[in-house]
Amino acid sequence: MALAVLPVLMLGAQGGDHADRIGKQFAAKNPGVTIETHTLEEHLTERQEIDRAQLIIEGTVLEAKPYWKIIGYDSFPRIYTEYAVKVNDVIKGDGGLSYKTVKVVMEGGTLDGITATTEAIELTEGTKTILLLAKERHTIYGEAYFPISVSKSTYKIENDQAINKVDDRSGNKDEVKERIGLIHSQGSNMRTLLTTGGLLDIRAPGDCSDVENHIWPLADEAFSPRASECRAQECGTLRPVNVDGEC
Amino acid sequence: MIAKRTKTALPALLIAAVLLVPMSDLHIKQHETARPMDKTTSNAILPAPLTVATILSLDATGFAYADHDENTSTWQTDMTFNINPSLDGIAHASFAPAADFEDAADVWNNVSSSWWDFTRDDANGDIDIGAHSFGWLSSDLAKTTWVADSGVMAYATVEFNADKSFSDANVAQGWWSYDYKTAAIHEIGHVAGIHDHTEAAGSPMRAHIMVNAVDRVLSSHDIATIGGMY
Repeated sequence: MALAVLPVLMLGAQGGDHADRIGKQFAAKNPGVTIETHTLEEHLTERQEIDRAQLIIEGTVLEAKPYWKIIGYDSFPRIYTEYAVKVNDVIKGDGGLSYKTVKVVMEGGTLDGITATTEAIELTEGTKTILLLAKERHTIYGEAYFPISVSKSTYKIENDQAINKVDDRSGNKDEVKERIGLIHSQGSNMRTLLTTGGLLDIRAPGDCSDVENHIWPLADEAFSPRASECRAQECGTLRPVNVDGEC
Repeated sequence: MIAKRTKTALPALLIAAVLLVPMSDLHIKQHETARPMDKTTSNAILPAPLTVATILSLDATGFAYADHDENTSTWQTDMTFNINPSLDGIAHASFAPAADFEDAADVWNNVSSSWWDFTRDDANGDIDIGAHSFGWLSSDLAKTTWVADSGVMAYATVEFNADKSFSDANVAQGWWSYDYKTAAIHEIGHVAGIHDHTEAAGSPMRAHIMVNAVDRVLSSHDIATIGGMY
């Protein structure tokens, strides 16, 4: 078999027919190869993950649709999977999404005989899951929700009871399995999660005045995307500012 | 990038000679060369990667270079990397992305049990080092993706998230940033084929790094792992 690069040079991420054609060519020329991705992540506590997530849902995967994507700075085609997830409950975020379907994109999947693996848990059709998501326009995902932490922000619900947080990133999976449970609703803006770290309240984001006194972003409890969004508004930029809140 | 490997293809006569070896003999010979005493020997004996990949696809049973069960994909030649201009996207006054990546490579090169070198070759590198936007709400700082054929590495990329702040954490003060060399050392470990992360305190191969943490010293576990693979 011939391992051959495809003569592509592009500046931006590309999907659609072009990427599909490149991906199929890659698969045809390199049958049986495996693609594996390992990620280095920021160290976030569960509290921070929850704060950062714009949308936390409990949902059911209806459909998994893998596709080829060209990232742009090199010519190597990647496999991403677009999941259609039916929202059973909105734990944080836009309550109007209840019972609707959201599009969630994650790296990895199997397509044209090529399997691309990542450290995220495997989501297949019918999987019940809790997802901590953000919606952001960027070069990889485009307009879609994506997990704010690849390995830690997806939870597979087993038998409608225990929710296993499968962290595949250290050697002993048994040691890092954590149970997280959705306890109960406390009104439209409040949910409580039971985690190994204790009870964590999830509050719907307020307005920017809520974060004026936060020391962002180093202080553990104060860190939130909401805070950074507000700082960004003040600075007129989408990029973060420094720890003193200066633009 | 993968096509660059064809530039190093051995003469057709040598390839033909290798392919004529009975598969049972070949299996043994591959194991004999799988743990070379030095890289000069290994490069002289091993056929070009493309040829090996072809052979392995015919008889991959039991063929693995790594002693560590979880790390079964390895390079069969010295690893060379090229710096993509996009890496400048994470530049900061406290560090030089390209030069500091070379320093990070030396952390692994200096492991005494390693028989390979990880060196820069912008014209013919097998591993592309670059940066682009992952989105700043993502918790991903950097990632390594490799393509392997029956346990033989063929191509890899290292991508840094241009939406995150990197610095030399020994220099920068007051900024919410991540130590670039720590991240680079981590990714190079994956490039070498290390599959798992470690929980060892202070190791650059932990799955997550803290803001401004400087973890540039390989743990004994990291060294043992790479030593078992090469």
